[in-house]
Amino acid sequence: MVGAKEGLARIGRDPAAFEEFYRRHIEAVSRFVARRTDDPHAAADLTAEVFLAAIDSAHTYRPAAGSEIGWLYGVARNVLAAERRRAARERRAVGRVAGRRLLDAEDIARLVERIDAESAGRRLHRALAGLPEGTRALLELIAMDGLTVTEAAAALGVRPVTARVRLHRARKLLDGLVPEAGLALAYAKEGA
Amino acid sequence: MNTFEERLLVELKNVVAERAEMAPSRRPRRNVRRFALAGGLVAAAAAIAVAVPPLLGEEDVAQANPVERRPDGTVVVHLREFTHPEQVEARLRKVGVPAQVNFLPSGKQCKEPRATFLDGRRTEGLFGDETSTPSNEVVIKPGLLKPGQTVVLDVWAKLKGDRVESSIVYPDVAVGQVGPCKPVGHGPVVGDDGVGDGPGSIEEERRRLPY
Repeated sequence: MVGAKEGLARIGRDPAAFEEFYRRHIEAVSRFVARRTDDPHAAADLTAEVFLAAIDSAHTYRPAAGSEIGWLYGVARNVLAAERRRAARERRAVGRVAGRRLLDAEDIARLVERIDAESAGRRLHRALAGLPEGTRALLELIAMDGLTVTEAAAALGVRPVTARVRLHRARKLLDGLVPEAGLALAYAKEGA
Repeated sequence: MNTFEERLLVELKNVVAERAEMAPSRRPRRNVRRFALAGGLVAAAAAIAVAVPPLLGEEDVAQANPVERRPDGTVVVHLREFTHPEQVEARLRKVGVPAQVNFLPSGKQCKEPRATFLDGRRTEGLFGDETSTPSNEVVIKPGLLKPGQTVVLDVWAKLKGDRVESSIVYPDVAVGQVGPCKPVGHGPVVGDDGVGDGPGSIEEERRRLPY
């Protein structure tokens, strides 16, 4: 099996490599999106956009920067941030692959179920909205998306120690503010 | 995977196949600028016609914590000894970076609030690619600093007597006045592999939970 770096870079030009990557991560990406939107059509579009962004930027992945998961979540965050900016300007998201037109009635029902299943995550998302950006981004990834501190740091392009210090500083902010986040942080796995 | 996800996979594989047929130079690429310089400082000084001369002469190399200015303007703080943070501040001022540098022992932190800090997103890029910077260096891009901003470097070390066993740097940017650092307890605890948390920390809270 090829090394991780080569494998990831190939997803942009090798359909078989892409398929393997997609099957590994489609559920995680779909849930990431479901925690941040309550509309199944938007969720479908965003899921497609995340993988398109991954295809386009696979060549920029640096293994030293952290895990594949951390990289992909960083891509996903950027896609959703870009979509928020587009939505704010009231323009529809139109990608090369418009996810929503691939939906049938059953798919919509399943996406709605998935969105409902992630409602706790969305509540947490709203509760975190008032925190400073750098800290909020970290907490989202750890408390909502279940990343380790190391993976979350990779997604944000900072060193794990920077992430830990930020969390340390935010701890007092969190006490009492977001009980779910405090509990979720208690479960935050410490990766390598 | 459900049927939507299967259909999406098919469409995305078509996209990848189309890209594979395009010549590499025609594939859309992000504009990634690289500042990396190969080799040591001498090679860097000789290699490129520079507008800003590198600031690391012989005298500086002998310093405990030299501050280097690269030809592209990037400033690098090399942290080697836990003495005289005011000298590091002075060297940073000389290259146009207002700074507060604090050397803190494991378990201590500066009493807050001492300043208003930029939150994480707005310091993006200022400290270079943090994930690939060695842990005993701080990279600063002075061009991204705005007037009234001060770089704050809190540096922790695990000390064994006088010797630094391991160290961690946490760079941040303050806006406006920065109060002096008064070391108080409950700060990050430096382990062998980086910062962990000490008493009252996330790890300790987790250990206290009954689950």
